[in-house]
Amino acid sequence: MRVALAGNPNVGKTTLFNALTGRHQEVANWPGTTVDYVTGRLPTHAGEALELVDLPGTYALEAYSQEERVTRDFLLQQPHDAVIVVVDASRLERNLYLVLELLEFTPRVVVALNMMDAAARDGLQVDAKRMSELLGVAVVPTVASRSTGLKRLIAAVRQVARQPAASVPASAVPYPDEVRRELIAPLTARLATLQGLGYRPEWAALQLLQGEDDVRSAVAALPRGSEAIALSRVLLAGEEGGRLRGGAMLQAARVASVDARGRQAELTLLLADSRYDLIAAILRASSRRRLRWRRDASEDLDRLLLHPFWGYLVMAGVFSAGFWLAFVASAPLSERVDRLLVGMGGAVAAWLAQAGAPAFLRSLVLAGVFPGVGAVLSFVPYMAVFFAVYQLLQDSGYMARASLLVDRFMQLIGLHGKGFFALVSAYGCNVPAMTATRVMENPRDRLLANLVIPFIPCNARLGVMAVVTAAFFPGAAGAVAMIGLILISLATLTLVAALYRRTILPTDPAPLVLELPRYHWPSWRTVLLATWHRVWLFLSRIWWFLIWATIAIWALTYFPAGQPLDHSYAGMIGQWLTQLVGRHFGFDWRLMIAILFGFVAKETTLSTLGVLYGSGSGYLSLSHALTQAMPPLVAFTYLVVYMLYVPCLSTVVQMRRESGAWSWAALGVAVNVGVAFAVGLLIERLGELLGLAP
Amino acid sequence: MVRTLRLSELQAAVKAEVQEISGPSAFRSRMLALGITPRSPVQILRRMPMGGPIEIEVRGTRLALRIKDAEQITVTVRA
Ligand SMILES: Nc1nc2c(ncn2[C@@H]2O[C@H](COP(=O)(O)OP(=O)(O)O)[C@@H](O)[C@H]2O)c(=O)[nH]1
Ligand SMILES: [Mg+2]
Repeated sequence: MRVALAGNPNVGKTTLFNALTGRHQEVANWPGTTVDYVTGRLPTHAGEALELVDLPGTYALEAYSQEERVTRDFLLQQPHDAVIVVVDASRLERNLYLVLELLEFTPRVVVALNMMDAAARDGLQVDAKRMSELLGVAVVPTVASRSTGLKRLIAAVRQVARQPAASVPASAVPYPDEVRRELIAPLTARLATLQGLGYRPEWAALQLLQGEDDVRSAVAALPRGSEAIALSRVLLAGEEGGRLRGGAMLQAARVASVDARGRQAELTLLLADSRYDLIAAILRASSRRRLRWRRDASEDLDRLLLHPFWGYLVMAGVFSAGFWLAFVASAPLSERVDRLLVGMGGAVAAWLAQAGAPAFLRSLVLAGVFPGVGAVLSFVPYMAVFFAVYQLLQDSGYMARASLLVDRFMQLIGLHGKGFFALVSAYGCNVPAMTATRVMENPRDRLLANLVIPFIPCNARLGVMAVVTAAFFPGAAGAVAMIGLILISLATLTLVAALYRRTILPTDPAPLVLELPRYHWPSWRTVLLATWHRVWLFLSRIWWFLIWATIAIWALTYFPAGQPLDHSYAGMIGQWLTQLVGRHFGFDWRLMIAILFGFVAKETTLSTLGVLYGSGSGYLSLSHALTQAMPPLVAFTYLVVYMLYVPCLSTVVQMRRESGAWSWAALGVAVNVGVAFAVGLLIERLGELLGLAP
Repeated sequence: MVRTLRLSELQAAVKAEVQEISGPSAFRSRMLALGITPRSPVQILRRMPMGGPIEIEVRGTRLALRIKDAEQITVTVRA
């Protein structure tokens, strides 16, 4: 038996899901999208096996974001035996809207009246029994965070899944009589005669009348389906068509002059209105609000956290702490993983040498396989901390507040507040930052964020930049150079984002809507499980690419065998790139090779430069070698290019994953590299004009 | 006396009632699903600085809307 969990965002679906399924969970990616969803099995003591699906949150059955689309597609197309709609008992008025919509779609619904504790704290008493009578389906009070009410919920689900469909009334909503008589009834009757309609006729009729595209194409594909669609047009035009058949119907639809869109919009409004009327009636009969003595704690917190001054200060503090935890505190762990693997690689290579393995095999192991595995695994510690922090901010309700605070400023780069955390965390690492863009509903916004995130210098790049600026610009000048670089990256990001907006990714007319949920203590189980899922998904998808890429780069530097680095294939590519681009910037072949190799992982740039300049990567010897080799202007230009172009292979793989297509990733990389060199050239020419060149 | 104005122009903490929602249909149906329908009581809780979004309370939930979007919604206030 398969049961879906649906409901508005932040009502406790995932908490309920975790409480029910424990560790019996699996994450999967929804085909053709970047949306992940989780399925789980109930531990079976008695009764039929039960599979649960945690669907993304949705406000209405009609889809708006990609997540809502997944929920809608699941409910419309995937077989399931029942739906649990989770509602927030303290915010029933809006939550019940989805319940009513779902009740029209399927009779097999159980309502989980969740957050009963929060409702009680508000002084709200809800009579679940009365509500159940009024809705015509089981309503079970639960407190997911304390695993209360789960047994009764599952019992109700099993019962609903067994009961025959016909025993449940079609629609409870009292739509106006004339709408029922003149529109809904005739179309429902017609749809009921169609063979193979997978939906309840009345629901399909309501969708057709509102101009719903998915349902229309599903109906159009059926034999005599186009007649039903024609009938919906005729009815909307205010004419009678119930008795027309075949060609006569199609003809009638053609002559029915009607502003269909206008009528559909009117009807949508009318239907929504009737639903809210019913909700008001249900709430009047089944809930009672006692006088509230205690003040609303959420509102008290908001006074501080959304304060025009203190709010920003707290936000800076919260984000800095999160950033520190994710990228600074976890760094030793990442290094240890890395060192462990390098050590293991050395040991294996030594063992191979003893066993008399050929040199290239030893080199492959030492410089190809183990560093590749290391590159994947050293991501794990800060990915884990990052996602835990992210989930914590999200579940507690703080992320919505932070998004609200910064929305005004994010608009400057054509994005909304929800993208702020992703952009800030990109300074730590671009890869998880791209995953964090998923909070934005709009796929176009998300794509844009993914395309511009690589312009933000991550930890690894900032480290290299700090070393090189310190070598060339001693003392306070170094800080100025560093700030200059970061300002350049911000300006570039703003301009490129504007460019994307003007050309291929124009802003949607879609509004920013941000619900500000009540603050909640996050549940550890939910946070840890979500973190584990994300890290696992990342690893399982990226390791393959990263290891092959490291091996490919190794092969380029190793072959033709026995040659020094500058005569390897990589060296040749470097020389060729210098001829092609590097010379316009004053970059020699060594700098070009370092740019090329930086693509695998930017952390390695310093050691590559050390090898190429024959100085080792010790700070003093390297900075001496570098300052001897080029003037400050070239070094600065180099840093600009270095800072802006595609950070590393993992970002490209991640960009592909988050955008859903290699073509987007390719475009992102091309723009990234092009812009990096263009800005570099601009800086170089400006420097020359200002007489900074030697 | 009843005054009609845009939601974006409403003062904080003044109780109003939604009158009409204009704009593209995706916008309107989104507002409906979020509980912003004609006749629903609405109130601005706070405004973010420098023309940022407004926070409103409608049907027992709190939402943030941008000024540009709030301009599409007309409300009435009883004086
Ligand atoms: N007070 C209370 N908090 C809950 C309850 N159920 C979930 N929560 C909290 O509400 C927040 C959102 O829950 P989550 O399961 O992520 O919601 P989802 O978006 O619907 O999946 C989390 O911080 C939970 O710990 C409940 O019954 N009572
Ligand atoms: Mg969830």
